[in-house]
Amino acid sequence: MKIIIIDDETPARDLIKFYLKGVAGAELVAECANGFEGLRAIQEHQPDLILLDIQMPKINGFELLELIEDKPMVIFATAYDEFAIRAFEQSAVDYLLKPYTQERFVSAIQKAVARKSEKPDSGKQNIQKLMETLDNEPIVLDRVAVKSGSKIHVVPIHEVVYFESDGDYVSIVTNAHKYLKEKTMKYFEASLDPGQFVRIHRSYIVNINHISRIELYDKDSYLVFLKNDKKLKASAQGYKLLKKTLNY
Amino acid sequence: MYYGNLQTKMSEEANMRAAIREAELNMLKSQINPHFLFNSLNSVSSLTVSNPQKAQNMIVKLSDYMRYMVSVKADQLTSFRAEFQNIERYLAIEHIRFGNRLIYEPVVQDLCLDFPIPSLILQPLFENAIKHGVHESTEPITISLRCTLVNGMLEVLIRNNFDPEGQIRKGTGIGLKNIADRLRLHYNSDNLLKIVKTETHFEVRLYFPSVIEKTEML
Repeated sequence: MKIIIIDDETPARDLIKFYLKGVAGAELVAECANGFEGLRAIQEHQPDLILLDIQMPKINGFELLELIEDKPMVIFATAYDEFAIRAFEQSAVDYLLKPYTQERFVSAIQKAVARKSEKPDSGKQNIQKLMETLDNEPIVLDRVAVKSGSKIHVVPIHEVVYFESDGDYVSIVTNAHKYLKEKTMKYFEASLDPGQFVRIHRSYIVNINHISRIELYDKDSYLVFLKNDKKLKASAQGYKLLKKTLNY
Repeated sequence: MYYGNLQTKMSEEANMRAAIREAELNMLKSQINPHFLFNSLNSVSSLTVSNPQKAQNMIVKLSDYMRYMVSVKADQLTSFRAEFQNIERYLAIEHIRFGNRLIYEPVVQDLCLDFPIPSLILQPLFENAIKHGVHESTEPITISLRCTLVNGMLEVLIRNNFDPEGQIRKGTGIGLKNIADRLRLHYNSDNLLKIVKTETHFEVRLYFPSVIEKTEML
């Protein structure tokens, strides 16, 4: 079984390496100190399993998972227990709360081995399930990780002017760029700070800090003028919400 | 006239008491960060395999650090030396976790060591430097501390570089405001905290007067 360790702390990686030595059939193919390295290593080695920390520089463990298409099985190893732990329990192969014993570690790896022999594709399904569960967790986004070509961009949420629905994707529009992400409008609506982002239309979520003015368009709709001179349509319902958020 | 003044004074006192209580509460809450503790223990666990001697040292450092954190009372005055020692313990522990991603450069005049300062007032600033500097960057972060006596005041400068791309997360505001409030309560003076943030560096200067004009209820 091919394994990659992704953790930004050297002692944490050393410990995993030591624990892995006692596991027959475990083959460590890469060791990564941050999410970017992790992403590259996953694409290069196509591992069966990743041992993943959550809090890391650049892109965190969740953002990393969002960016991988062929998702391997995941065991989280983290000191964070306050959120999503329940989700891990159901969907990730396992989660290890730091610090953990060798016994506990080995049992997590055995679960992965069992899952792999059971259903070769189940790792992927489980991560899909994990991501869905995470989508339902009330987390306020402060950045979005997106891929454009082979490059990864981490877009600060305050730079996003608006979100626009685009088939199975959502366009994330900043003043300089437009990115596509495989998510739903519903997901963004639920994950953004409602004091800053308002769903003004079936197709648009706008950042209120980028609005310059609002005008009546016809009986039931409005036009939202942005500071970059673009215009977005707002429905009556969306206008009502916008009015409430802007407090006027 | 007199009565009115008294009333103003009483409400001022009530406000201040509430502010102090809040500061104490906030401080207690921030005293020991559980993630710091669990990650440090994980490092210790790793060192027991690779370097048992270092593991022992780290356990002692961690214990001394925790002993200090649980023994100090909210906002009592202590010597700069005691705070400085504890900060060095804290950074030594973080250094084991982060290795050369964390560089620490202290310059402290001996004269500063016995200077009285409010307890745990500097600690959150180092925690911030770790959180916003080291946690968010893959490149090395240098935390420098400079301590000098200027016109009878103790000047403490804490500075760190950071990765501008990693600075999306916010959240220093409340901690810094809390420190400014505590300084105001202790010294009855504003402008004892100065913050300079550039594209790449974050710098905090604190000024501690030697004469303490404490209010009576403190």
